[in-house]
Amino acid sequence: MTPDWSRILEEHGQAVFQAAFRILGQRSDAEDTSQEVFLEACSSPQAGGVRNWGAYLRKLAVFRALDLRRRRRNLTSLDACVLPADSSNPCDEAVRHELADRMRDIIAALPEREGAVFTLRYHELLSNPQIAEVLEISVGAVAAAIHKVRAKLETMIAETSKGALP
Amino acid sequence: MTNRSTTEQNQPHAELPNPFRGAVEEILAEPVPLVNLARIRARLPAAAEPHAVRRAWPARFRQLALAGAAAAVVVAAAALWTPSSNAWAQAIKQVREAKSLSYTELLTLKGQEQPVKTRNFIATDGRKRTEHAGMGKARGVTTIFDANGFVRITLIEDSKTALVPDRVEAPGGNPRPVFLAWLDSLKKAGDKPDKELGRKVLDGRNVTGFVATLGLLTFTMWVDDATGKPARIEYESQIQGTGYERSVMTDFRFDENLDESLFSFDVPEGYKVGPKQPALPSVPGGEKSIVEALRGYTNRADGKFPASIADWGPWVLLVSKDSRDGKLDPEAMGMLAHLGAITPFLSSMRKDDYSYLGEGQTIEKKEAIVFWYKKPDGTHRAIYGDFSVKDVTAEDLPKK
Repeated sequence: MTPDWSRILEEHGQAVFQAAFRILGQRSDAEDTSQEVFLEACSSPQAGGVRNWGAYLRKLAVFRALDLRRRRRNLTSLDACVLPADSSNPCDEAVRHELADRMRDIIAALPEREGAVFTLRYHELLSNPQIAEVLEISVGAVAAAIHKVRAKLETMIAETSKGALP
Repeated sequence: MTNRSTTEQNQPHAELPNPFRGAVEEILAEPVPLVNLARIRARLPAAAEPHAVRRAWPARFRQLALAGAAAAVVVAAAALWTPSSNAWAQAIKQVREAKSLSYTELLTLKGQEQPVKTRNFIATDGRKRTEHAGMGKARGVTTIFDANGFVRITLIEDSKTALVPDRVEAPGGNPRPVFLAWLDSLKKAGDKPDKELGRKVLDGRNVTGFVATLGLLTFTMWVDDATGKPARIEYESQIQGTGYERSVMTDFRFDENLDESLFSFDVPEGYKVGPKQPALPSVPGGEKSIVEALRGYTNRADGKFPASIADWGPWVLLVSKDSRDGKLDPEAMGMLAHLGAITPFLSSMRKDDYSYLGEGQTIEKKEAIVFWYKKPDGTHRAIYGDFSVKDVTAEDLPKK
């Protein structure tokens, strides 16, 4: 059966764009990614069998946006990332922007699945079962990924406090 | 600065150590622009044919190319990009541009725990259909209004009865200003709300809240983060002493293909036409209608003034006990016509610009002010216990 692309776009377009925008932080990049996601969905041989378009498109959006961020910033590991500094003056727009930008780099530098889980949990505010449905993995795997990410973040803090990172 | 208040349920990032927590808060606080769906739609195939898909240039390349064509850049950019906007502006745009609309309304009535639930449909030309859910054994009641807010037909499902008014117009003139005041107000809203309420989860959806006062109404709107559409709109009644206190609207559907039959004024097949109520007489509205309505009430209530001029319940009870075979005498009809004209008059004023003080008063207190209001020119008028009406100064008014 041919999917009704116009309706699918209408229903999920903004959600796809939002997921990409929160990862990339740039409107033009997020629109490129959204376009790529829908084109990929259209050309996928699985398109006719997709039951949950919201989950399917969100998954594509998160992975494609993380890919783009990783490529753009040449992020290969967390070692390349700078810990976001605590903002002493939250009214300072530049400081707050920098804070968000460094966080985006850290997310993109995580292993693919961990980055996706982080995004869906903390940007999209999904529950673990919802994340499991989107990524088509078990709830246990989601919990494990979250645990790993938190441990890595704690390590970054500890190492920074020892002066290991700039 | 962006409001970052969130509910406990909706802030998983609270479990992150700082500075990561602050960084995620910052990402969530950034307004998400409205996606240019037209640009994506233009590239989608009509049918899911993989080979038919043609990739668009990445936006940054296109922007560079456009930068070289100085004359074309303004036009092209305007065509390609929607203006940056926040969720409030997106939602208002949806409301403003909606050709048809349906929504569920929960109306909280004074003294009643359970709100009254209706499903409402608004046609492109402004006609409205309101379906009341059945109460008790009775099934639903449906009312169809014309674009000016006049009731054209009422359908009682339980008895398959259609009530068709003899005359369309209502006392007090065109009810349109009250009929869809909330919708008319929101359509005129600007792109900035008065206040942001932050994000929360509402009925399983992530939403962002806003507050804005538009005209006489103060709205709280929760916008679905995923769709950019209003998920919930609330407002308080702006009329003092009215029987209803609060309206909560949800389940909005824009530009649905609403069948024309939903708004037909014709009696549906299987329905019989109910007894015709005599048409209410025309009345002048304004302070004259308040005087005449109060005079009629006190005549029937041993000189006692009603507790409210906006809560019609006690008024209807008063006349119904004197009715014979369900028919009202001409005086009662006149009183109700004046009463019906009061609400549009009160709706045209700010809450602080009038006050009804008749509760507990009797006609024996001739010098007591039972109602006052502020005219558009800033002067005040007062109605007294003997139904006289005078210009007064603000100092003459009873203190609240």
